[in-house]
Amino acid sequence: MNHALTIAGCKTGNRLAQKQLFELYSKNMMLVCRRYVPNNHDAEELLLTGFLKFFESVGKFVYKNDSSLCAWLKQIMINECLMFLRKQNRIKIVEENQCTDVELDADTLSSINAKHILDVINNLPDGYRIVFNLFVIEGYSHSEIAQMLGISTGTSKSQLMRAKVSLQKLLTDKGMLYETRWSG
Amino acid sequence: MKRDGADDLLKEKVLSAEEESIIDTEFLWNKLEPLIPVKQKRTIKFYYKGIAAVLIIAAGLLVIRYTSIKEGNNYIAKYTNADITSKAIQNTINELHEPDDTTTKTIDKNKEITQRIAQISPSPSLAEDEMFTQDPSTFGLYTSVEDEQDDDLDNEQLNNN
Repeated sequence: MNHALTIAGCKTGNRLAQKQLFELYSKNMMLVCRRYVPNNHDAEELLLTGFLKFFESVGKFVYKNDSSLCAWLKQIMINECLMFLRKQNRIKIVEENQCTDVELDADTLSSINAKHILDVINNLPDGYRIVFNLFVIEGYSHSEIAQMLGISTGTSKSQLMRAKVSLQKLLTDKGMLYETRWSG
Repeated sequence: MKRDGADDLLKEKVLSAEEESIIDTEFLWNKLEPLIPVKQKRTIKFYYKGIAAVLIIAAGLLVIRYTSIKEGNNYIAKYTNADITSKAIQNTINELHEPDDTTTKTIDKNKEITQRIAQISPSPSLAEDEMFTQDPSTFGLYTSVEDEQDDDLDNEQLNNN
């Protein structure tokens, strides 16, 4: 499938092209939404809103390659999720500039079942989980996260540190071996 | 705080653990489709509406322009006619004020009649009034000479008899 043609079709409002694009990216984007909003129903609503915004603003999008399209869609979905959480007053981040760097041991981590790690991440408080997902999974920098959430860079770093400490604690509580090395 | 090996490993584990979400794509598309604005059709409609609006406005302006010209012409014509009419009226008035032979003749005739009447009866109006107040025996005063003569003859005939 030629994605450039699909995008061109979407720009002219072609229903078939829009449907093709939706079918192609809806599952991946649903995963993104569920990362921030675990409730399935809410995630579906956010997915639809995100695609609607994409089709409304597709005229501004300049197609370079598939990854640029995916990144743009993902950005829209994340923004929608953050807006949703903000409206529900679920992003409660206390401003703090002091943080201690936490390094997780890669060898120990590799021995833990991926499913367990995901469960632990999903059980993190909303604020920690959002910063953790944005930094670790999506790959945003702290300055970008700070801009997206309206917080300082130091707060973003401290939130990530606290998320990692909570992750370590939850994994320890579940009886999994998890070594942490504190530094800073 | 930078990304380290543990972060990359965590990402890998999370992405691998995330089950492919079981979503009914067709169902969701059916929910989404009616919400997507039909851009192309709207744009075409907009252009057609715009062109139609411009044409209507242009036609309206043309109508107004020609109507005003026509009205202007009518206005000029109206006041020109009015001027002409007023001149005509003025001329008529002037003509009426000028002495007319016929009128003069009529007036003269009337004067003549009045004078003749005055000669015949110094006060015809008084004579008419007296018709109802004077004694019938005094009527003779107002009879003509011929009537008086007839009366004298009648008297003579009576005396002779």
